[in-house]
Amino acid sequence: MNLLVVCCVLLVLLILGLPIALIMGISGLTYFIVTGSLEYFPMIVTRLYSGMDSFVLICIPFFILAGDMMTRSGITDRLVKFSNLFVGRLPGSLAQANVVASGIFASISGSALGDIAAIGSVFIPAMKKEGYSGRFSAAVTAVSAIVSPIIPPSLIIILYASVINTSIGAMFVAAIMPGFLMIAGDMIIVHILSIRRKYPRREERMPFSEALKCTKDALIALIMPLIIIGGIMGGVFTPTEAAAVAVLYALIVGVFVFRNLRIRDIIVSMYNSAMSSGKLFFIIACVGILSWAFAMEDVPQQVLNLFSGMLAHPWLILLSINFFLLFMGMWLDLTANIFLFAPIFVPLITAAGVDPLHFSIIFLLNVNLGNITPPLGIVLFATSELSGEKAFDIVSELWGFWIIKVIILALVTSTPWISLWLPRLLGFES
Amino acid sequence: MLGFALLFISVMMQIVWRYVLEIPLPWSDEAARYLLVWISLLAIAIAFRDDSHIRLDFFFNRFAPHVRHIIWVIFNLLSLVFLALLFFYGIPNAIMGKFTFSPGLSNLLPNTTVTLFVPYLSVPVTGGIMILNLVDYVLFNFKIKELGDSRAREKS
Repeated sequence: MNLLVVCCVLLVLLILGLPIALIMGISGLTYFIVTGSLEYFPMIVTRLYSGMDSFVLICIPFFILAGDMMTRSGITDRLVKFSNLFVGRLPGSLAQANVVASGIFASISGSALGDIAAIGSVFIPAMKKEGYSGRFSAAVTAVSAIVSPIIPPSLIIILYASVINTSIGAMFVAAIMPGFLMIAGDMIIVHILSIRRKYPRREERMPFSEALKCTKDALIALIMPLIIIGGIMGGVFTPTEAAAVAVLYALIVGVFVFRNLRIRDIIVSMYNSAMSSGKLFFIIACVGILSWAFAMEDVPQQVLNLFSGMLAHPWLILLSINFFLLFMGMWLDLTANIFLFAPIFVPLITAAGVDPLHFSIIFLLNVNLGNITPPLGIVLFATSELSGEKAFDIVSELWGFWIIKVIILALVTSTPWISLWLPRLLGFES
Repeated sequence: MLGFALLFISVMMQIVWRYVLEIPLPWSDEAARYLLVWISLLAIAIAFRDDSHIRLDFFFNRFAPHVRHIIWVIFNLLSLVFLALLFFYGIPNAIMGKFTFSPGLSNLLPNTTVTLFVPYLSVPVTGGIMILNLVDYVLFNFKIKELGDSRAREKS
């Protein structure tokens, strides 16, 4: 009953358009007003503070900084050339290159918005020039960008791991195969659409010397994820240290190898990463209040009781959670979703005998899809802002990609092997 | 000005970290965490001034302009109340922290004792800055009837 009031307040505030962080905080507070326990009010400060005071979370501004500095040192153009070398001869060459470049970029940056800004600003004008429609260019950019939160280093994996206390390294590795599947799925859809619409392909071959040069440049970018994942998996660094090393690597590459990262760029990068991680942390901090209210109402136990009859059929539970998370992904952003619902579902899923590592990937794939669905669709609207296309025009080109994403989601959900094979291979027991 | 303070602390954080990679210092973990909290809270405050917090403006942008204006006033008032709570409850919390020593940071300078006052102070201080920034943003935009793209304020 009390929770119903809280949910109503949450919904109304959401529609009114309050910042999501404040919605979390205020609807959490309404719980304490409704139950008449005003004496808890002074503790909101402690909740807020302890939400942010975490050693693991320090890697978030660092990963954002590393990605941003890599972008500023001009890695994007090099990646574009490299991906063009790879898939340029396929039909719809630029669209394919967009998907591949986003995929590679995903292994440098941890969030989709950075991907949009870097890849989109190069590809959308270029694709329009070659005769692709503006809305198709924007749609491909948006859909390929949401690979970024899945492929490591991934900010949402760090967030999830910090809530659930799982190993970040294991989750990074588990996310690799689903991430590749997403890229492959996007490429299939682009291929089908390109053949049907007769999009142009690159005719001439690239000279060997140039191919060699851009491969070398791309390798420089690809070393970074190797350092991060290898370092964490090999037990050399903690994730936070790995993030700091990534910043150092980006700095060295930008200043000494590509030589176009100036002091001013570094300062702007730092400012940007502080701002974007600050916005994220505000949500993390305020969600603490609402999830406190959830914990007081014993929501995880109630959900467990609700599904207790279904524990023998884990796939039914997974199916209903999938639907729920897909829906919530449309309304709340990734951070809020992870912090609110992961603590609720993980006990249930463990009781049902599903591997928590497997479930974490399912969870993230679900809420990640909300990035390109209205009404919230942060990535969708960012793309529409960048390209000048109306968001709904982009949506009209997106449905094919949605279908393939849902198919991949179903595949990952039904075959634990996809997400668990690689971590097992590297010796992670869960 | 805020931006510069922020940057300065970020740089400090970087340097602290590079030390960590060579010699694990007992205080660096805590210092980094406290800095992180300070930086993020300051960034949050700046984001209030720019109105750049993540929010669902899908429905907001579809209301009639005068309705939108009323809603805008209401939700800014709500935000103000929430921030005021942070500010007022933050003060006793920080004072309480004055009597608790921060174990790692106190080793840094043996003659001075760093208490949890330092990190806890971040909440009321930045809470105050957030309120000021929000009031500034509201006053600036109040006269503008057309909250056109919901982000009326372009210049900083």
